[in-house]
Amino acid sequence: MWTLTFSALRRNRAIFLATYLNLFLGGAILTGFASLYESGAAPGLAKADRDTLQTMAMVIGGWGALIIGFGTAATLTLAVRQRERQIALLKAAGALPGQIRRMILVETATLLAASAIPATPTGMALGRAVMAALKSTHQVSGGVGYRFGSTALAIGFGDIVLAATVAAAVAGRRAAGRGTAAALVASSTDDPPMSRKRKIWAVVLLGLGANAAVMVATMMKDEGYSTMSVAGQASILTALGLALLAPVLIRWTAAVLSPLMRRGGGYLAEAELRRHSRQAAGVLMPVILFVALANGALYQQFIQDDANRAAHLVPSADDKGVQTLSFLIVGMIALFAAVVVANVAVASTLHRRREFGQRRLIGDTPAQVCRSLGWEASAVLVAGLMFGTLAALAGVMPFSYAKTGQWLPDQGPWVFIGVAATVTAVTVAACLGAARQALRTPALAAVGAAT
Amino acid sequence: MTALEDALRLESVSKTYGDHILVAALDNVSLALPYGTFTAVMGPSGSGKSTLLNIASGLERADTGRILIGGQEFDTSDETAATRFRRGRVGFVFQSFNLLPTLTVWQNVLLPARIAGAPVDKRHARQLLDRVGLGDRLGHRPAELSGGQQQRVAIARAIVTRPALLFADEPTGALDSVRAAEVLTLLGESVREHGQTVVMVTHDPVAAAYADRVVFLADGRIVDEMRAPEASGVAARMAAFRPVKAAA
Repeated sequence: MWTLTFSALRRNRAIFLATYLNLFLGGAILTGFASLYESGAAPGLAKADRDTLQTMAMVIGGWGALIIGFGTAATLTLAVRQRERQIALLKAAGALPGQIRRMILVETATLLAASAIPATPTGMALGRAVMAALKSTHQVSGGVGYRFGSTALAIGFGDIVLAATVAAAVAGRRAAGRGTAAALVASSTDDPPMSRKRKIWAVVLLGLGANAAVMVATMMKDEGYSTMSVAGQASILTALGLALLAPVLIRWTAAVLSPLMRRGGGYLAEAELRRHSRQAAGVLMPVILFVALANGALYQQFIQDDANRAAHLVPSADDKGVQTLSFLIVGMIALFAAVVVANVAVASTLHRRREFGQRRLIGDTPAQVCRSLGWEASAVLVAGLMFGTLAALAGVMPFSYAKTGQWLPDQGPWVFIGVAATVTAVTVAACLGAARQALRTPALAAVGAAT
Repeated sequence: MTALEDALRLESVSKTYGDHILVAALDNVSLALPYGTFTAVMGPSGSGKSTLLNIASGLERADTGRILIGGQEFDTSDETAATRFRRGRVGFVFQSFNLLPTLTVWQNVLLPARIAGAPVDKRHARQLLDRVGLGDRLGHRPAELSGGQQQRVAIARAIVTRPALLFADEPTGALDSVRAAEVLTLLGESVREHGQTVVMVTHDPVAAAYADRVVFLADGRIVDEMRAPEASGVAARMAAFRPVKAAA
């Protein structure tokens, strides 16, 4: 089993590296903020200090854990799916379903353990830095000690371990349960339709998001900062619901863009998006999350600032604290989401080496392969910006209404343009960079190499 | 015979593999194939058959030597230039078919023209698919077809742009004898009825007997050839390689 694990880790370097980076970054961010909770729980702390530290940790708990858990699960699922053929070969050679499930769990556990080694000191440094920032802005009194112990580790890694284990168990069960013969030809057929369970979850999440949005606009109009946190939840829950529907969303987008794509050399891109929509959906999911999170959180913060100014309030220390906190959270989680976008885009593009080889043998030049991939990335970005913004609006619109009486904020489009530019740059760079790397393999070798 | 009359001409082509231990895959090979001929390339495993085909079709680069297709030198120094040169001149049939799984039979056959930005002759493509017996399978995906059917789609795809030269690497390697005969008949027809030039690598003496000429390769060199071959004669010649190799 160990031999298999290590040879699998070596052979699928791109996707495992992506998973590792994901686990490391998520672990570091979560343990960092969990250590603030632990510091706040220390006996003998003033109530104000305790509240500041624990609120900060809890807000991260609400937003960050959800997104980091989801990103981790998405990357791990991709890792197993990319190896469907290898797994089928193992089964053809006599591996039992239970052995396959165990193999995937062992791999996941290996990656988790290896990522925890650098994630722990990084999380500690992160927590210490945030604590120092809080002290220097007088949000926490200077005498508060920094604590990083078992609570921080348990909370911080608990989320990641839970997400990773659930994802590995689900993906492992699916891989183990498939017929061997079916799995061996699977890569040459259409993607299966979305499962009922997935659709139900999507509807439930969208419902919860809508519920939070209605609450913000009605019951929670004057509830101060908790209004903002519920508005944030409205955005995130809607984004998660839409992310689960990504395969459908990408097919719709491809259908709408198809006249443009056909004219612009994207004939194969269109077929790929419609037939293998899971592939593009894997990239679309984190793009939706990134766009929703960054737009939602930033616009809400600016609306809050403007509302305070309109009320002729001098920004209080609390306001400043929340603002720093908000930007910090957005920055941190957005960084995580951007890394997931880049990771998934690189790993899934590198995985298509064989397909690119076949195209080149038939007469596609490398530049044509890149152009076609550019179309795929464009479709993902169009869908991601559209549905991500929709999810952001689910929080921003009711929040704006609650604060100003207007449904649309008057902050102008600059935040949106900045977010769009960032996600476009990350996605395009990741896709085309990986494509260039994949195209370096001679076409014949790429087609001959077993994946 | 001048170079212009040859569909394919190799002049002193050599190719070695490996970084430390150099293996000569092709050792100073020269070969000329006139238009409208059907040539089989045979030899023991590792004799350089596939390398010869890959280099002649521009899928791989030779270390030294020249390749002329229709009298024009094939510049394979850069993939984009080589690909543009290949389009419309060279068709290739692979042992593993290499059909694109997301596309239907019809889309796969039209793909080379679409990629090349050439006008798509749908009537011709339709006739071709009827002729290979797949006129009623246009909307099927490769995964829904048998191996023989997939290979016939691949052949239709390779000849739809009417290339002067058609290369086939073990086109019957994955097929049973009945399907193999269909595929070989199809290749023979494209030579006799459409004047195409076909070069086929095979290890099967029966398949080689469909060709007008068999070229034998051993250790990267052309060692023999046979005109109007018969399966029994080819098999006997191939059997003769074994003791020679063992002695060497």
